Amino acid sequence: MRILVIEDDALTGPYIADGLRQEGHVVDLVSDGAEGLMAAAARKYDLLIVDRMLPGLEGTSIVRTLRGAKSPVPILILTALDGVSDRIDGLNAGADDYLVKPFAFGELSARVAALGRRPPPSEMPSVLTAGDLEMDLLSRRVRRGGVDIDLLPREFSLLECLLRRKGRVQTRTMLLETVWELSFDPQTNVVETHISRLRAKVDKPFSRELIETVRGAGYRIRE
Amino acid sequence: MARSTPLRLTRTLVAIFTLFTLAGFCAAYLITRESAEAEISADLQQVLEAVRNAGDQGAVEERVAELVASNRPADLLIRYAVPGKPALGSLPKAVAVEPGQIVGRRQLSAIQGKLADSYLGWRGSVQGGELALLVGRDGLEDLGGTFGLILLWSLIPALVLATIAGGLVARRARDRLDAIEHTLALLTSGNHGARVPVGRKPPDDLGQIAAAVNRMAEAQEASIDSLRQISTDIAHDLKTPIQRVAVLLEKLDNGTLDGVSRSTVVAARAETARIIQTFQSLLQIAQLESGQARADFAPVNLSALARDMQEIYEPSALDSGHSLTVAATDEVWVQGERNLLGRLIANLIENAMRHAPPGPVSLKVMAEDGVPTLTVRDHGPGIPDSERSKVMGRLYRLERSRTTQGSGLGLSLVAAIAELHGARVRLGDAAPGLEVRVEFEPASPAGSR
Repeated sequence: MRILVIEDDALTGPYIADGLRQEGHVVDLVSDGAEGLMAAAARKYDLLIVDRMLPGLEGTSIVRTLRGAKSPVPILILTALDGVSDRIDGLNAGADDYLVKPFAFGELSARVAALGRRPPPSEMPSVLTAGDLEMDLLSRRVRRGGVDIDLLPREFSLLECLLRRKGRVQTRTMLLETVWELSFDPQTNVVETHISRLRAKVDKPFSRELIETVRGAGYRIRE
Repeated sequence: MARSTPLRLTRTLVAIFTLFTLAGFCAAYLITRESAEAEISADLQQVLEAVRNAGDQGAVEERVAELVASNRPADLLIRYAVPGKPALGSLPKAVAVEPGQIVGRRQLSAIQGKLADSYLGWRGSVQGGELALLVGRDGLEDLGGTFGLILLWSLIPALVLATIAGGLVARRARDRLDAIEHTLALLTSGNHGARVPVGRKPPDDLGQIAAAVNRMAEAQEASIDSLRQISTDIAHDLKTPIQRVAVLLEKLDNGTLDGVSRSTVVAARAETARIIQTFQSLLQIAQLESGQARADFAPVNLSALARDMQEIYEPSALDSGHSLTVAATDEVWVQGERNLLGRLIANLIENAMRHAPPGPVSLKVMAEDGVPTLTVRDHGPGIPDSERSKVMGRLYRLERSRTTQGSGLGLSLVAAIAELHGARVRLGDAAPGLEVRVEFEPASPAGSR
């Protein structure tokens, strides 16, 4: 993907850019808000990563300007404050996702992947599969290797969330947001315990593990 | 209700006023009465002299007849009896009376005409006959009634007026005192914007006190604001360097490190993450205190949220040996921000799981008299009475909690979120265990969400 990073911090900017380059993306880094807006308008990017507080032009203003010009490019906002207003401001301005600084690179990378390859609504299948696992979204049945697996509603949602983004990392916060529609940072290992319950039903009775832990980032279903 | 000083003062003043008026009246009455008595006995003496001065028995009889004719029976009764002759005068029967004795009307039955209630009497012999004199004391008897009437018509209206006027003044003063007390209570409970309404100018004594309370509140608010600003500034200023440290630490892990260095880096990273979390919470509290988030409020089903939170935390609660139950049968709605309310419940649950030994932790949502109430109760050691107000402050930790994990910001974040929602947080003793009650403002039912 071609990604534009607008971030003024001399350390964070290159850190994001280098990390994304190592993952195979093409990254342009701009440290000034106004310059960033010009760069975004001049070239077609697959994704924008915009810091909220920037010299020259505020992050949300950049987003608003681009959206006003009908630009469909996915935008991830980086916000320094873990505040609702900030998040809602960013999303209201037209950003697709947000990330609170400081963040782990794994979280950023997972969100970049989710934004970059968001499937168009028409591609929503009614049956999700991974290896010998099969999830029927209409009858809400899960089978693996021909065996029915009995899941609680939230376990079903959790597995569905992982299956929909098969092969891509889902962070703990992303899972909380998708399954429970709650965005906060739990101080305990709540998501881990739910995953381990899900694993006990989906993976434990079988020879191959489908749900994989990605250290420092989150979870992923093997393709 | 507490005893009101102005009311008490009014009552005391009215009582003192009544006492002095009554005493004055009594004195006046006694003095007037004494002089009236003296007048009556002077009258008697005068009549007696007039009779005695008559030259002989015949002259006495004449004088007596004159006196009877010229005086009403209510003023003077007289009898002159010479042995062997019929008695003269207006007293038909002899009356046993000593000089200076008071005779009542009842002893004088069978006398024609209107009599006085009592008489001052005299009896003795004059010119060979027995003379009895009774001088009417009606003036004296009337005196009491007159004084009583005066008392009735002057003192009682005065008393009523004084009581009403005093009561009104006292109530006004009490209302103003109540306003000051109410403001002080608000200030104590953390509402630093509370002020006493200051009335007319120039201010009177209560107005001056009100103004002084307001000045104190302003000074307090200013110092709290600057304290808040300082801690927010510090958190802001240190965040970027800490973020950089985190970035640098993350860059390190390339598999090029040996075992010892790697474990050091891992530990450093965990510590940095904890610092970041603390700073994040500090900044979030500052942002919550600014009240901006209120713009995003919408109806939130608190019961459903509590059930969600129970579902999220149940597995980890089981892992740590706690059993997390939820009682939220009625659908209770509040006006608020769902993520923040979720964070509030999460912090209370995490707090219970961190500080209470394995055991039941119960979550309850209900509307008590229309007040949406969320209760989280554990079976841990609780919080001593003396420390309860402190634990809501930032970075405060109980002595025994120093070794457990946590930023010391959990409950202050709860307090900040509650305040944003206009809710009150009460820490109570569930004996055993801590009970945290969050009481919300009543919201309209059946929200749109």
